[in-house]
Amino acid sequence: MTIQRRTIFAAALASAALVATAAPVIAQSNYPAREVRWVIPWNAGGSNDIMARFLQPILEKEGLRVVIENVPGGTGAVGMGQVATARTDGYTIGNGTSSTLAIIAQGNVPLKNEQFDHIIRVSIDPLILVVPASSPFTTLEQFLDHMKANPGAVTIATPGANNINHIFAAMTARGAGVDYRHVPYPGGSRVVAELMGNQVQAGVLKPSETMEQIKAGDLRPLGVFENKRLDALPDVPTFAEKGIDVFPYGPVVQMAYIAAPAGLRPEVRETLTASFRAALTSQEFRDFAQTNGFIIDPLSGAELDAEVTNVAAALAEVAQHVFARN
Amino acid sequence: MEILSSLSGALLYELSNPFGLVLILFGVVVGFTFGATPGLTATMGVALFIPLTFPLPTDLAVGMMIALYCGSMAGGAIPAILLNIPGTPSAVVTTLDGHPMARKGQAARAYGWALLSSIAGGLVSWLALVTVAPALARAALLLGPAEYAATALLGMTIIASIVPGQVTKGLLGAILGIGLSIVGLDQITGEGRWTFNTLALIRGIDIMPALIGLLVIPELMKSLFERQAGGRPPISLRHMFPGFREWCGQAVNTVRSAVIGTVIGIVPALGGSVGSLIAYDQAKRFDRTGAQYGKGVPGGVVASEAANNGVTGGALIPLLTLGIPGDTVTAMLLGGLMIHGLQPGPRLFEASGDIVWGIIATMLLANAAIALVGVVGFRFFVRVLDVPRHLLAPALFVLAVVGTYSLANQWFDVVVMLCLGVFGFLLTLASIPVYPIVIGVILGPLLESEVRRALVISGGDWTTFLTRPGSAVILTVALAALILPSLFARLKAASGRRRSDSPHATPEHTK
Repeated sequence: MTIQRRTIFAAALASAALVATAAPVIAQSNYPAREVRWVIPWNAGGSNDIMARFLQPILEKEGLRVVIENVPGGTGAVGMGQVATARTDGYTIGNGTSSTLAIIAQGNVPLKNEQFDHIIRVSIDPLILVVPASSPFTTLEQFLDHMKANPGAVTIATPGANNINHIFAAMTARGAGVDYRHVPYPGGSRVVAELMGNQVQAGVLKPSETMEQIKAGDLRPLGVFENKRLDALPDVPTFAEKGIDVFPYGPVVQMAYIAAPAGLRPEVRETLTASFRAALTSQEFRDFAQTNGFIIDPLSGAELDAEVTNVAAALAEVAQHVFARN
Repeated sequence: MEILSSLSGALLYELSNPFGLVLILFGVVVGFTFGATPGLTATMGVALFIPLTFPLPTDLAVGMMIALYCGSMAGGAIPAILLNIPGTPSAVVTTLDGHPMARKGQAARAYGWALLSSIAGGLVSWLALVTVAPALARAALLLGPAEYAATALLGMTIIASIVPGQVTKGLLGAILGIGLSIVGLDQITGEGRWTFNTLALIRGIDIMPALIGLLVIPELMKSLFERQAGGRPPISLRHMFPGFREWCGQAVNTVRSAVIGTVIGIVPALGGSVGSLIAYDQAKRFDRTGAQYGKGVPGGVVASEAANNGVTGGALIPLLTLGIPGDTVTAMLLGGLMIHGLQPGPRLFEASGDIVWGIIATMLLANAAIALVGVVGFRFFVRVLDVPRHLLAPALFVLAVVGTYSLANQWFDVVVMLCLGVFGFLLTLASIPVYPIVIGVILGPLLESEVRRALVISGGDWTTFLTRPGSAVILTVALAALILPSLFARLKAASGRRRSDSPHATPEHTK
């Protein structure tokens, strides 16, 4: 009887101890116990926002419930500023982009890349040089000759300023060896409208912003700012093919990636990476990428850190050559 | 004929689907609510509802989003009339005459006019969408930055007619408004202006926080100071809608304003508030009773509401025919279409014609739903006025704070809103009009960035504004709008002096 009682007591104690020590473990492996706040530092309806809203239900299937919050402004710096100062519990993440990296690289905003843990890359958007269908130029050479013949008078439009699009507009002019007129617009759709209305002579845009207009014959792609041709536009030559180096200052690429405030616990980071990787490689998202002409390359961990560092360094270098002229 | 058969097919399909009809009605109700609440925007409404539409078939999902969009414009008039608080930036102009009417006990009549004009505006733009959409959308692309800049300037001429006889104060206000809009990252060079290297200021001062601060807060504070002597005049719901004859008197105004709204909607980059500003201005000039505008006449309400609902249909034209969204709401709609597997672009009609016709049919049904929701809903909305002011004002204040915060999830916006609110209240105490500041904030960024863009394109040549036919015409209209009224007034005064028996002495500058 006493033995029995004692064993019961011991068992109770042991299990109590077990529960006590197990509690934090459970709490840790419990992540995510609630919704994760996903800051999109761009307006609702922008490409980052649409991608996030498309991913939202897929992530939920992977057990990660996200709430999308648009915190636009300052080329993404305002929203990412909120992410940088959020608690490092994994319940706040945000979309870092090359545009925000560029503005950080120029020292225009009180933010640093070291304030973030980079989780996983969501998308890469190649950029292309497009002209209106009514433009007399059908090849990149013709357009560059036109630029040479009219130094400082050819207009190239981009969505926003001091970003990757702007860099490639400048690289086009550099390829022609002349000056040009850079016309920044508040968004890609405005650039498409202005091109279709012949208000500007060329634009630097993503295929995802122009594919439908290209297919309909309203816009004509002349060159790809990449080292190899795009699957979506196999007939369009790259600038490299034409002997123009558009990366003279290092690799720059238009990308979006998930970032969290620096100092995440490894297991939280792993959970986030795994959930996003599953969603990003799902058939649904791959189809979405296919129809909208962007590339999925879910780099993560140290590789992503290295990529972000490289792009940021190249941007800092390029900024001195390209943006300073403003 | 092909149009008619496609349209009637789509309409029959929509009508035969009760679930779809319920969703359209639901969309309009939600849209009304978002439109009527200052701080909740149509963009937010569409964004919030996209996840809810995931399980729905594409046509129903898109229909609901379109209904929400249409409803939000019509909803903005309710608080504008009842409380002098615009629910959306587009309804700012509705307050000018809508609220004075309500003060005279004609709230129901004002809303009747607003509802009728909303629907008329919706229908005119719908007709444009059905009949000449592709041609119109292409034609609109011929306008460039020079024309946008000129249009922004034309919109600014409304200041002269809102604050007659106070040109200096009006101009100062506008300059102040433009000054506020300068804070933040320069749209052209990407450099910070007046940001003091702080993240909050880099974002700049948005239209909505400024609008809520300058218009809503002073109104709430004023209402607390006002003595409620004997209560307000009773509101009769019986004469809500104008008679046919009475409406005919506003027919020209309705159609002109709706057309202005539709055209502004088609042009990518201008946005709804510009439409109602210009329509109001034109209505005031053309109306024989123009001098009464601003004191509570139906014409002002008609112009504003017909125009801003014309914008909804107009903005769908470039979206559906070219894949180009004109503002944040249509950008969000575009996102919604893409998420549901559609590819908005010039080929949308060919590739997914049935969905596009479904959208067009939905717009028509949404306008019917707006009528229903408007008539039934107003009976409830009007109860707001029965709430004692000392309870209503704090409730609206909380709503303003929450709404402002939720615009971009930033407390700094609330700070901006409150500061401008106090500033606006001080101005109203000094009887300096705040509307010019609001107009400066709305049109300033457009004017500044488009002028600079036009100059970049022309290589710094200012004559581009005169040599481009479009901008030359718009600038001429703007100039005429500024000079002609005072010229006419002089001529009239001169001829009046000659014929001293003039019986039509209108008290023009008594505001």
